[in-house]
Amino acid sequence: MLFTALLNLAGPWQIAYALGATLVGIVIGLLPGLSATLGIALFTTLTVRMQPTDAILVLVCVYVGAIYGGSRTSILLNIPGTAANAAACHDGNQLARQGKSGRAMGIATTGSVAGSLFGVFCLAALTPVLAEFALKFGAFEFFWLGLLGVLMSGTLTGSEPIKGWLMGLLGLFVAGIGQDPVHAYDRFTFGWHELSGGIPLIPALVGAFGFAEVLMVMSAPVQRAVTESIDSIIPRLRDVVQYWRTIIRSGLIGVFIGILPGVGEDMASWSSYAAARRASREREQFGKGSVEGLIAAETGDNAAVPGAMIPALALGIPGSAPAAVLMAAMIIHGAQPGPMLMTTQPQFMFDVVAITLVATLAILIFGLILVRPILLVLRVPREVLMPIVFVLCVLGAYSISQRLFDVWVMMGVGIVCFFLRRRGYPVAPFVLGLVLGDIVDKTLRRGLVLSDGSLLPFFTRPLSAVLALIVLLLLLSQVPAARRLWQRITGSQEGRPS
Amino acid sequence: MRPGLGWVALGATITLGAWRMDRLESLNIEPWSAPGLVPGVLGLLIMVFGLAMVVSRRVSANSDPPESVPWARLSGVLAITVLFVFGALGRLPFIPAAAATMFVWMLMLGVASSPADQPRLRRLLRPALIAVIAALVIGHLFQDVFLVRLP
Repeated sequence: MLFTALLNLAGPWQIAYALGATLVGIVIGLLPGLSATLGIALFTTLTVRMQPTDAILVLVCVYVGAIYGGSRTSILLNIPGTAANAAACHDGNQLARQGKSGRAMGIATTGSVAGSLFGVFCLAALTPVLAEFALKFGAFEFFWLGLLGVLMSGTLTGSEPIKGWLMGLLGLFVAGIGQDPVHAYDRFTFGWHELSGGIPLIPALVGAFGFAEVLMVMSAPVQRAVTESIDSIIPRLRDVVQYWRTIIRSGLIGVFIGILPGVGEDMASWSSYAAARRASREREQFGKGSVEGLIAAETGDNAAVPGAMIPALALGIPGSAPAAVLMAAMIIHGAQPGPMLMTTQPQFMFDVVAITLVATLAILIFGLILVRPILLVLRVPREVLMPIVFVLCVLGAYSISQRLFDVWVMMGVGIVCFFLRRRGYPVAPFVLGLVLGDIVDKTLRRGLVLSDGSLLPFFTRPLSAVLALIVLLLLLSQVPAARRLWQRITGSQEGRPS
Repeated sequence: MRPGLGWVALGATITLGAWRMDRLESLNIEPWSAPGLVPGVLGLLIMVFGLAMVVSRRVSANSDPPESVPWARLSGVLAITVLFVFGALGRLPFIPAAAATMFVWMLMLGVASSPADQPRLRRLLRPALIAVIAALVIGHLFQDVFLVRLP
């Protein structure tokens, strides 16, 4: 089936789509203020009328390209192009300041390709296994999984978990506006018939990650580009051979973090970086231009991309905000992510594996041959770029259903998310809430109906109990009193002062 | 404390709205599948976390430092975008409206960053050219390639 999928991608149009979409993704990732999620959301609107496989090909290539592209500005400007590339700033920019910007970009390319390839392997191997395991899940387990995704995203993104949880809950609520999925009863529509269909997902995402970002960029101080001369960007084989342990470790961390619902590439990048630093014999080099640090960061964040697709395909629960948008796009194009995917549409999983492999090859090609031309994009002033992005957001939101209402939703969500972000509220949990709201709503009610109103099965079924415990520990981990108690317990058990 | 209170108020409003929803008893539905159940639970949770935020702000010595916002620039952007979406979209042809919006945006907010010794005509022509070309490209891309009927 994988061979069939690869053959399907060998056509001239498919190659053109792959290269074009990856290039656009790299440019999106390169530009601070534009994110992978925005890129996928915008391209979802553009690819609505394409063949499903071609549309998913474009979207995955934009995703992979954007996560990779952000490393360029991390290295050259010390500004991450996307949040996933923040860890690369530490050592990438230091290498650039030492006159080794080309080498740094070559290392970033190596790490990204290695991480992505490792992730693709895991995607192919683990998705069927997880889907098989998920066949044992019922409404009770899916409820906890959906809630866990939202809460985990809230805990790990932003500076204060409570703000993240509130955004997640807000997203779950907004997802419920409109006709109730069980009885078709209008909820919180206030008689406005456009709202009966609910808040449209893609326009809301374009608003949250597109228009809000435009407002953020326009309200920030102007950042001056640093002109750097670039040395050779061809990666050295020695770097790959010398740091093979780091690459594998970062790949494993990246995939694992990608699988966790609601976390994302930025956490994968930081975790890989921190693990590499702990294990490194050149620890003192980290933060001063460590090749190992840069490889770890970029391998981790790119491995998380296929990693985040694993739970999206196998469980219907996305592993990150961009994966959430990608999953929504897959549903628009007729795929049914979830445990039944391997039974009803097994070829689709292999199509996604093949597409991600092709995207990885595309970032290798562009990473090696198009460094200097791509960097010209950094010279475009934001006063020119942001109006264009805004118009794309407007048309993108409009093009799904050709309703002005969708544009109004995009504007409204964008303005609200902008002001919330200024107050330190992260947007990713809100997006997860929007995507998972339907699952959480239906599974909670279905579970209660099956148990005749009893909450016991939510806590006593083995898998539910484990998931409920994880949710509880996640919440308690942020309660100061509980943290102090834990420190006292672990400190007294190990005989060390707490 | 105010942000926490805002969330408490929002949670209370949602919970009240959910409580007042029809329980569809006339349709003999399972009571646990009532439409207001999940929004009600979410409203309660928002209230709880909002209260937790209020309490933690009281206990903590630090409060969120207010971030300074460049209101002039932001108001300009909001005014342009709102005028375009609610004023022009659907009433005027898309491509000229988009071109005019982008031109005003680039002119208004880009003037400060352009060199003062540049001739005035050049400072006007450059954004005009970019705005027109961008609007034409985007409009025709969506219309002719992606087959979207422009608003």
